[in-house]
Amino acid sequence: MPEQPEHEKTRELAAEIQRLKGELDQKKREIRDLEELIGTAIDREFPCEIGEFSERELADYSRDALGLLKEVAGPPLRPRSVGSRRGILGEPVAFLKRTLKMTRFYVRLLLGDQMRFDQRSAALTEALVVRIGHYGERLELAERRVAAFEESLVILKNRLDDLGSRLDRPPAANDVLPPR
Amino acid sequence: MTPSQYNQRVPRPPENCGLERRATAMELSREITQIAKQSGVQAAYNRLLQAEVALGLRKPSLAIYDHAFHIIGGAQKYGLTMGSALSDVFDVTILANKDIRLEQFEDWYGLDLSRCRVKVIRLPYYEERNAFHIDPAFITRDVVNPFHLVSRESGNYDVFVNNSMNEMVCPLSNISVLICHFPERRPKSYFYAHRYAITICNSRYTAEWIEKRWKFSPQRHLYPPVDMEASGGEFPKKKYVLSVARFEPEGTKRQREMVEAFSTLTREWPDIVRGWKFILAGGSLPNNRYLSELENLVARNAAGSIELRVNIPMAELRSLYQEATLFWHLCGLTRKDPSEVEHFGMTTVEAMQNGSVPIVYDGGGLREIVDHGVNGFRVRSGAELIDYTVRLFLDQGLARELGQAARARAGTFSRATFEMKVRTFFAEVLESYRRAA
Repeated sequence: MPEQPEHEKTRELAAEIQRLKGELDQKKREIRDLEELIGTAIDREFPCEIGEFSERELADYSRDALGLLKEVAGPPLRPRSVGSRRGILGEPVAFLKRTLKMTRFYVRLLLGDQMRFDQRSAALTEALVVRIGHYGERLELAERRVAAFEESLVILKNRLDDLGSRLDRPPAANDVLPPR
Repeated sequence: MTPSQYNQRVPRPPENCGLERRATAMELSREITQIAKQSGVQAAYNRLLQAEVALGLRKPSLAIYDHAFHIIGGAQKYGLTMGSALSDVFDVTILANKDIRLEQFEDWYGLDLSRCRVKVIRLPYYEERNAFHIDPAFITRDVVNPFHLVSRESGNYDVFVNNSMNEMVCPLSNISVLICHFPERRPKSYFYAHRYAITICNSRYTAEWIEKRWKFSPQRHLYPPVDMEASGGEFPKKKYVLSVARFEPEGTKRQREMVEAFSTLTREWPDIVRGWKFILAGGSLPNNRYLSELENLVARNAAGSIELRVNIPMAELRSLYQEATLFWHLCGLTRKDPSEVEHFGMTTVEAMQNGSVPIVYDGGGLREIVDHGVNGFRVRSGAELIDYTVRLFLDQGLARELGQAARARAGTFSRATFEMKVRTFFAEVLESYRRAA
């Protein structure tokens, strides 16, 4: 059988590529899940490296974490009436619930301390977050005051230079740039 | 396109094309079926895309995506300049999430994008909320990733370039490029930055933070294109100190600190400052409280010597750049979050291209632009800003000398340089893509 010309072969390939693309396009549309489409998992968990957080990130993180903490350490459950909406099974289920309710006193005895600890921990954390916020404000204020003093120093230095030059004295050595 | 139409377009294959020599249609079909089984439908589809390019059946395709293409911005200009530079080699598609026309891009950025096309991929999550700004920060694991629609689209091109700071798009294309202007988000839900084959960053400062936050090194570093050079050569300078930055409601560009510094100058050295004017130009959204506060501050302290010019046309901005002797930029001053420091500093380069002497904050990407004492000054406080400004007010010769050095330095960041680097880089990428087929 004679060898197929190269050009002919390419045409054949091009047509086949088009046909396959059409088929795969259809399949792509049918597959709704991205991971199934690429045949591998794409989502994974990343470690939360709090030690590397910037101040803004820490503030956001503290706010979110505090919200969650307060949610978990919420108020104790209030007593509710016991019943069941299941037809025939309703009676035994309600009986079981009543029995469990009777043991609640002992459960509370065991868990009471833990619940109080959780609530107080959440309250303490909130107080600490607020306190750190106040310190941050005070630090910012102090930084602003230092900046104002620096400005005053520059003004004084320049005035001194000015006076020096008027008295025909060599100015202060300010021509040397601070290193960067 | 029907197969017959397609066949008419088939050019002669390039020489030494490995795939053309060994594969028959049947072999190809068998290979594709096998890939689909082993690695998924997308991988099989990608193989076909690569084969088409290797056989010279069509131009390689490239998509550039940015979820903020409908808003004017420096990062968007970066991606579109890239698209414009590559449009003769690639079939370029601009992927946006909101309605936008090519003419708008051409008006905003002065780019020739006539060979590109725009495709809008609407995201129902944001459409339902009538959101103009598409903010990925709203997306947590509790909702289905709305950007998966863009991920799917990325699989229809040979090259996918993600120009937005949105790592929630998982690239499916054969070649994927992530352009990072700053790694704002730490890796958490729907984070796919590490799935891109190539990461390009806009400055060494950004590269440093990518390494710190994402734990990998970007492969390429490409400064943004800046094209503010005056066309008619040098212009006579006036006694203007200029600042160009958006009036951001959070005040991150530190305009208030600059107004206070100039007020101090006028108060303490009225003789030296006489005749000088401080002009703050920049864009702002309506009802900007920070801007109102600035207006009050100017009215109280330095009316007449400080001017705020908000949302001015490009021609006016150009003439301000041409006339300004000094340029101030303090973005990052007293800020502790790395994202609040200038990642690069395009407006500083624009000023330098016009021979203005920059006095900028000593941090972030600005360190890569201004060489202290050579073509401007870098300062760490308002006091230093005042000090160097007084020095330049008094020594006009020094200002001229530094201005010329600034102009020379700014040439490094021109659009021509950017385009040349982009073309060279993508030519290399394309070459290995063809060869790998």
